[in-house]
Amino acid sequence: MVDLFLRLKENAVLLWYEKTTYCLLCGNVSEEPVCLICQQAYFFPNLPRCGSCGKILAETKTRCRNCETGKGPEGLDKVTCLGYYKGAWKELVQQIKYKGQPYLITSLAEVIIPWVIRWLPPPDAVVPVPMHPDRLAQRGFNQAEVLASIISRQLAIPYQNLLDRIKDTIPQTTLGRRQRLRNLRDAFSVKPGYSDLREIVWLVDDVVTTGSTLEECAGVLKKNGVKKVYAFCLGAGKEE
Amino acid sequence: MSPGLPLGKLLAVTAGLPDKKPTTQPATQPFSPALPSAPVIDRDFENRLAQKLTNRMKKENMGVQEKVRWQDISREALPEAFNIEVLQNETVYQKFLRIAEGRQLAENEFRIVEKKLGVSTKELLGFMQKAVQSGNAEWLPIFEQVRSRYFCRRCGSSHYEEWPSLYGDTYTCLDCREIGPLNSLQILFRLHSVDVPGQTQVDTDKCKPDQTVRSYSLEFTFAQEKAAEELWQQVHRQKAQETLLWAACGAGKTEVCFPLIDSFLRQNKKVLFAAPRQDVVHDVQPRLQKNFPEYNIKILSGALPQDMEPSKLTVATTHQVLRFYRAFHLIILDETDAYPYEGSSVLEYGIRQALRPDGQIICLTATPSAEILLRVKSQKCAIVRLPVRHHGFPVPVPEWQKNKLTRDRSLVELKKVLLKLIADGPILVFVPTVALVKEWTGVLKMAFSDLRVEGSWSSDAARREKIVLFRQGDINIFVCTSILERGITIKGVQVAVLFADHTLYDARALVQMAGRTGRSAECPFGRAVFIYAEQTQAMIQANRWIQDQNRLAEEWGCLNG
Repeated sequence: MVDLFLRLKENAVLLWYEKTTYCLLCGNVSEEPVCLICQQAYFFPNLPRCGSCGKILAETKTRCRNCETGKGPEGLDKVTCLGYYKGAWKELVQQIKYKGQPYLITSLAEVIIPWVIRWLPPPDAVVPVPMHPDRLAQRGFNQAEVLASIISRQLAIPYQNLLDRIKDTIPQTTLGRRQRLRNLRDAFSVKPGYSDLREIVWLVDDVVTTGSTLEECAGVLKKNGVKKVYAFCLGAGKEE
Repeated sequence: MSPGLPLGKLLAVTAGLPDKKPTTQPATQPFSPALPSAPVIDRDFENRLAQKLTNRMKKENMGVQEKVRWQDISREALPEAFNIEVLQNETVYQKFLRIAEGRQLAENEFRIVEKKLGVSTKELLGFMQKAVQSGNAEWLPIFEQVRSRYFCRRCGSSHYEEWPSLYGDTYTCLDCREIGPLNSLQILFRLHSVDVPGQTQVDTDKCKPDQTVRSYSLEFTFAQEKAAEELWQQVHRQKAQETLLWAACGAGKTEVCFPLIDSFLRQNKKVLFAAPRQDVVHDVQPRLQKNFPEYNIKILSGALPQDMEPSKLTVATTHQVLRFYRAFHLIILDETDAYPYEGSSVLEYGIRQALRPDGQIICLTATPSAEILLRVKSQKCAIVRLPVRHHGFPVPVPEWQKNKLTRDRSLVELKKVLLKLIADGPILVFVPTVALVKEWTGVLKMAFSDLRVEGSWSSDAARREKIVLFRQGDINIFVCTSILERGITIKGVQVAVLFADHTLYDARALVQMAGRTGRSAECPFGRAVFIYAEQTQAMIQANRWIQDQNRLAEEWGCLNG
């Protein structure tokens, strides 16, 4: 009875008052999931991204210094990231990953969807970067899968969980660039049973640093007939 | 079900995992099974479980493979898998008990304990299991089902977000987010308070405030001595479970509690000094440390890394208190009517949960809420009054200045008011919102170009540094939101409340802001000015409240001024 009364009260409040929403990053009242101040501070909507690794660049450039000198990933057709992986945005991504809050990605859909439509050519399928089954079992979810499924659902693009992570690699964050590439060698494969791979896919992951994971996944996809691989991530670095 | 997340998709992943049987039931359900009447020791199961818990922490294994029968775990003998050399080390085990005593540890906190003890995850789990089997501790699911709702065991909240995990519907507690959210895939370890054997109870009669050998940094006035004595009587003689110490702003209510704290500490009892705000906690800890130098007083706040060092006297924000379970004999809750504590059922639950069943609470405030006054009226809460400041001068009654603060002319008027105030000391300018802090800091910087003007608010990264500068006298005008409304003493400070008629300001907030003036004995006078466009009930009530307090002080014959 008390429960029922409480629920009635909550619903009555919703009927009479507009619900106040808060910015996911700074906690200030905001009509959007991320307020305009935080969007400017972390998303840099006016700055270009490095087409090869997704890094946020200074104006007028199209590729970062690493990629220009051939140190960046080469197997991807285009990479874009939403925000600068630092401060409150980094904290939010880590909350999602490590503190069991994948539902927060749903709140971000409003920001993610316009971004991917604007920066990536239309695909035939959305493919998440896979997680090793052990880690998946430990965490209970793969944030890239949740992100890809939201994009797929919102844009009505087929979702295809094409890839398997067959090697449980050391976390990339603990390694240097060369070690990262070696660490990921033969880590991915196409799931058995997938023969008719789509021509253009969006590869989705949470964060990109050197781009090794995306590159390795793109390599596997392209070996199996995919023509173009575009990647989207929530966070990336920024070239100073 | 969380909208937008296809459950089928995530569950389909489990098909690819060997020996993985995804449960379609909520993850919380396995934790409350009916116990078999005669439990059979299943050594294999225990060994597997030990391995599983260890592996989960090491992130090596496949995670939970079956329903975890928590009650079975706690009843059975120590699994052989845990029976390793370090478990025989009684010294480390005792250290573990001291660290974890009265705490509820979530999985993500295990690492801090491991580091502190210098043991591996498996060894720590062994100690935990040993404590569980000795009957002092328990493993708990994060959520508890009561009728149709789930409640977080750590914060008592039923405010959760549901999402489809590999193991079925999973819940993440939303009210725990401030100290790290928990979800139903995790476990909670709770170690009950264990009274240290061999420590004799001190006769409470020997701990009377007037008989204590301790001398405090502040010499008690007659009113303070009276309040301290009355407080002691309420707690030790009347055994009041809850006592309200209603004191004037700047009356030294924290110090008045020192003899009581001392009496508990001398009985080897644990004391918690809690406050809803970081600034108050950081302000109080050095004062306590100065007066209780033989104790290592721990400070727990969101601004500092988590400290697991055991302590007899802990100072913590009310959010951090959620980490404790029946740990304290005495809780002193400062600024009991302040945001975010007031109106937060979660923080209130945290305080009640951190108190031992036989524990006592002292609530300190200058502006008690209607709710606590009602409890006083119904005799559920005892009351002690301290209506006079320690220096014996009355609390300044706020002056009112009508000013809409909209045009150039009103700014000229404001400048005149502030110029008069600055002659007596630095000015604390309160505004109701963060946006107004930024705006008015700019305006005042232009108006007082020869003075240093700064502004700060709760999420300002440089907040603490600026407050230190203001305390040192390096800032002349400090614009802020309610962050400095309470628990802070700055010598010679003058107060101006802009937009005092704002709906965000209630009578209590206005009293507290005005109460920042004239707190130190060197400068017992000060001015508080309310700048308003329309007179409000809150302003009238605030003035009346201060006047009543001063009148009572006069009746007690304690006023100097």
